[in-house]
Amino acid sequence: MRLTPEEALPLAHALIEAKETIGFCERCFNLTAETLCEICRDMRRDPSLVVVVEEPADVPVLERAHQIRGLYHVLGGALSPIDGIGPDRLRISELFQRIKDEDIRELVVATNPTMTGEATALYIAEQLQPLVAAGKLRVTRPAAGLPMGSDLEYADEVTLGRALAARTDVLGGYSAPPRSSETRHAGLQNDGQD
Amino acid sequence: MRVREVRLHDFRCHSQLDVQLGPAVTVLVGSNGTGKTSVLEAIHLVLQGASPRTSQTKELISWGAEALRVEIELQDPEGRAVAAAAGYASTGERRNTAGGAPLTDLSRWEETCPVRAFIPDDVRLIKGSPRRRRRLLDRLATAIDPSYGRELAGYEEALLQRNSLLRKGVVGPDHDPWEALLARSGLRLAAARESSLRSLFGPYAYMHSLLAPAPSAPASLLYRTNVAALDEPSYRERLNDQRFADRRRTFTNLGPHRDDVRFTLGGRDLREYGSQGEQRTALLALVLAERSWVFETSGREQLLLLDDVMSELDDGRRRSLVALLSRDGQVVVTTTDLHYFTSEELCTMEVVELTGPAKRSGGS
Ligand SMILES: [Zn+2]
Repeated sequence: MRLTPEEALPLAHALIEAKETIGFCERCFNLTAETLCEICRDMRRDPSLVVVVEEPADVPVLERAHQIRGLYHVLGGALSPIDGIGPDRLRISELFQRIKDEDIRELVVATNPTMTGEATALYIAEQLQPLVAAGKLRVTRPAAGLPMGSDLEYADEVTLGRALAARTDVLGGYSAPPRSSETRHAGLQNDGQD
Repeated sequence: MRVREVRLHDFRCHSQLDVQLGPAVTVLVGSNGTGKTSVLEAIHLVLQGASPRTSQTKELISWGAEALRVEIELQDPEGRAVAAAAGYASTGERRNTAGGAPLTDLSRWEETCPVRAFIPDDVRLIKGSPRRRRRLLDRLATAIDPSYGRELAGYEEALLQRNSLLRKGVVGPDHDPWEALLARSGLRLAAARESSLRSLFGPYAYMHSLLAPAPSAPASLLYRTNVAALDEPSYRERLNDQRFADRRRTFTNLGPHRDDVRFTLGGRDLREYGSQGEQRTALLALVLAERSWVFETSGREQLLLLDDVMSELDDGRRRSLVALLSRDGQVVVTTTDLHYFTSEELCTMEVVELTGPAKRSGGS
């Protein structure tokens, strides 16, 4: 982008202003200049369907697929112990709080098709397993077909739309967690000590 | 792709040497000290990135020289010439090129011109660290299923993540998702390795029976894994149970990253109880079996480099070996004595005589 000084100055001011006013949506942690983001304020959206993503940048990607007209929840990353990212570093407890407070019937965990994205989806699904078993909630994941190991951002909207339409239960393809590790709803404590 | 010519500059005892290879078997003949094995090393260095004899590349540079250089002329299936070269300086600087352009990833040669070497003194695959034997398993499994590599990379990432939790002292539910991924992926890896090794067993037993001095007990290859009896739930449960023990050792004990292959002769483990001769025979049988297996499975030819294999065999076994070498791709074999070959055999081979260091030598 090439700008004349006359054009550049207002833009620079706008950017500074944006940086000062843009924050996170209080409900879904998408980027917004308001308390609630545009999507959360949109009354035509289906609030019983929530799409969980890693980053705010994933929201417009999923919007372009025109497959789901629900709300979002932005985690702010994916689980990665190597990088020091445990469940407490993501907005997972905020997600579980929303599930308590709102009438959410399905959670579509659209984290990236990478190992960290997959682990994050599994973690959320297993923590919510009691609600799923009680028939109160479905936890799904876009179907296979997305290029494995890549970011959601690089998927084209047709592929993404198909994967979202054919979503499956996260725990469908996995064995249940062992009995000795009790799954706790919103159990986020890090057992650092024995 | 086939190798047509190899040129060595300041490589071990050769200040300058050009060798032309035939399309099938090339025999490098010369008395001890003429640098036959160096030619095999040079080919291996360019196409695999290291000598099969030493990891100290500096040792390969001629005494008094500052750098070595090896150029290889290849020919692709359409008959086009492809140039591969490697230069190593005593300063540690190295440079690989393909067609004159710098090449950082040598997997290009592994894909187009795979090379395997047999050096009699090097039985590390059988005696050494299990890592080499796991690499064998991974090669076999990848040849059968190209998606295996992705599965392995995913497994290794999940393993690093769980080990990272162990090192930080974490043993709680943070482990759950990684253990689920390890169980799913680990069982897939083990199944792929087990079945690919099983398919190599026939060719291996056959090659071994041709090469081992009679009477020989039956030779076997056994896949060893600590996840053999597990399904996904019991695998996860085991990982879960071992969190505290794993935290003490700071790594994950359960899983195919601990796999091994056992070479046995009449049930005896050759790694611990085999003689040097038995280990060599097993290794040569393995190299030949993998080559023939790869050719049968994928139609791909391997360039085989065999150092001094004829001297230890009796006459009948030499004939069997030469018959095996004349199929499935190119071979370079070194020998001190041409009489190990019959005159009929020599007619079908390229014979290159090495007369000694610092002298030029060409194809016959
Ligand atoms: Zn929002």
